[in-house]
Amino acid sequence: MGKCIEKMSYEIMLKNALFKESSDFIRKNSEIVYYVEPGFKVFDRRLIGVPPIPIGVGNDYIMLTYVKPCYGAFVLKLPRDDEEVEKIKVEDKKYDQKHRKTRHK
Amino acid sequence: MRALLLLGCPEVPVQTGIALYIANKLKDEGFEVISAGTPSAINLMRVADPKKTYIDSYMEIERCIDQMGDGKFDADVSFGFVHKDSGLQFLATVAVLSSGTPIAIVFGREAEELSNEIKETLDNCLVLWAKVVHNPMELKKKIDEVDRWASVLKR
Repeated sequence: MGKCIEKMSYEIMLKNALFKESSDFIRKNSEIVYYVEPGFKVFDRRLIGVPPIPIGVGNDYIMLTYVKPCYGAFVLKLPRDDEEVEKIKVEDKKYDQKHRKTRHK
Repeated sequence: MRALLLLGCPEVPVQTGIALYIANKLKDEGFEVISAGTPSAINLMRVADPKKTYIDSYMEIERCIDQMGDGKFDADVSFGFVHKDSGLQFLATVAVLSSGTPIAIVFGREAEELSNEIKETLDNCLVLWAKVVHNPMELKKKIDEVDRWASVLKR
């Protein structure tokens, strides 16, 4: 089972935002941005949102959007975990291949 | 057949009444009806339906998404109750994870903008909307135009 985000030391970069605002924030403030489908799990949480969902990765962080039904979108900056980053890279490649295929249909 | 009612934050009064109204019709058609939402949204439904006349069972919304992602739970039709951006995001997630048909029930002060956004972002999603907050009748009228929910399922 993945690490529990609630027990990690994370920074809230943006809160009570629209999903589009949180996605833009991640795109503008991350070293590398990967894209995944909704439902993909990072640590113990499945990501919520209209695809493609950006995940920011840097030397020491993973940045993602956490959506709460009543409070909107939050951008969380979590400590980097190499195992999680590898999973994110694989999922990004899958997402890219799937949607490239769709575009060529 | 199984139907999922994916409830949003219960701050807009029409949500609970409309959800139970749709559930009543679904039960008449023979659906098993499951409701997922925040603890407050679920408790409003539980209090209004103590004998489980309309709703068969309840799930916390994140558990619902988690089980769909694990392939342990699915529904033939999922109704997303949307009155703010987060509702749209949860419905979009279910539309990807579920093999069933997504339907958006949109209400609240931003109903028109949200329904346009749903039409632009979610393929094959039936959108029923009305700019209502306290009085559900305009939205009820739109819902009544659907003769049978079973007829809108993916073939």
